[in-house]
Amino acid sequence: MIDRLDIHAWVDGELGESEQRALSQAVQADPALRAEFHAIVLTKRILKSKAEVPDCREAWRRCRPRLREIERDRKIEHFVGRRSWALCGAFALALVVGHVANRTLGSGLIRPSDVASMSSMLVPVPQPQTSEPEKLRQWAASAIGDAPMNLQPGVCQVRGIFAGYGKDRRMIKLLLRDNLGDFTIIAVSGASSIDKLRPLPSGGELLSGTLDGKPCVAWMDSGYALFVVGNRDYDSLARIAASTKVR
Amino acid sequence: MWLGRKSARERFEKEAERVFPSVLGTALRLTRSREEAEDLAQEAIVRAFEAFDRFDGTNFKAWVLRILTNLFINKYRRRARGPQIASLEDENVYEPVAEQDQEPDAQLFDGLLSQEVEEALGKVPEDFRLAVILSDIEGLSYQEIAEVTNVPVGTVRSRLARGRAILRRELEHFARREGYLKQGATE
Repeated sequence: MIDRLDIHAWVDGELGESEQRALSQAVQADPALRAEFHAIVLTKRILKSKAEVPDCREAWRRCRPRLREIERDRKIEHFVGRRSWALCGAFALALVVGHVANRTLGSGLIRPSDVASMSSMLVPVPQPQTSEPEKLRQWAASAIGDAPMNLQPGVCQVRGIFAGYGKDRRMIKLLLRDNLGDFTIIAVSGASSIDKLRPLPSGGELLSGTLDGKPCVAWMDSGYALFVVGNRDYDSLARIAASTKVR
Repeated sequence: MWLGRKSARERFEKEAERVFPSVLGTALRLTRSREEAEDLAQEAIVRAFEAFDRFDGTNFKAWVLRILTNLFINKYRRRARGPQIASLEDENVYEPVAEQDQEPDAQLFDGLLSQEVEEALGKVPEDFRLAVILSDIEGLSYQEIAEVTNVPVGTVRSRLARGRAILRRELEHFARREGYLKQGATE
């Protein structure tokens, strides 16, 4: 008894040699099997020869960029995956280095905006209840400490002194008055340079700009940044600075 | 390492470009829609590339066609047009390819156009059609078809026989309708 599925298998090259031989003999002897064999061969041949080959160039052209995208994503994932600890470490190190650099290299840099914000942290230095010039001079000298500045009691009147610390720096703020009105002198310790101010054209080492919206001139002396601030012209502020400087 | 990746993509592209006509052709014959076929073929190629590390290196075309078939079954089949197998009983009934035990006249079918052959193929129920496509157009072995379609070899054999018998009947119908085969020529 012949299994007709074996005829398909024979046509498809799926039978061994001995099976083929046996089947061949059976097919030759039986017209019905022979008809089946030829019908299978014909159907297979028609399909193979007439099947349309689709034009796939455009579809393939659209497919390739997707493969490249996947490859790119894989590269990134691979890089990040393999080096995630190194990347995190590098990032953390960069943060630490940046912080240390800021603390060391940038620590001595004084900006007028920093001075304005730091001066709000200062507290008044209690003033003695006396009008004796010598006692007032001693009080002022004591409050000023080692800040490099000269006060000329005859020229200006001390209205108040504020002192304290801002961003780990000692600060003194003197509220003064002369014949042109009120002005302020601020001294900030631990300074290496002053930022954001431009040189005063006629002022030698003096710098000029604004502090808290008011005109100011500034200079560096013995690790202190000193600012003279007042609502007056720069030449007037420069004259105060010149008389305040320690010679 | 990156050079290795690049060459893997290049190797894949070379292989994929070679088999892409088969992939798209099979997708077209399964979905019977150009748009869906292109989407299906493209997705199969992308999935194959993603899994290229796991390819065992034996038969790339069979491997990609397996991915395509699985995708089709999982995503497209519900929407696909065309008849499907009515029941397992239908699948296992042997239907002779030859009509009335007469040898066919090959020349009678030679006038059929490719489009008519494709149309006849489209009328074969999906699972039978897939077996016929993979065997007679793509040239896969029974074992490979069994792996692609995830069925035993015995099922592949019976599906092929049923598929060819139905296809033969449809071809004859077209041949008669178009006048290549006179009414009653094989009856």
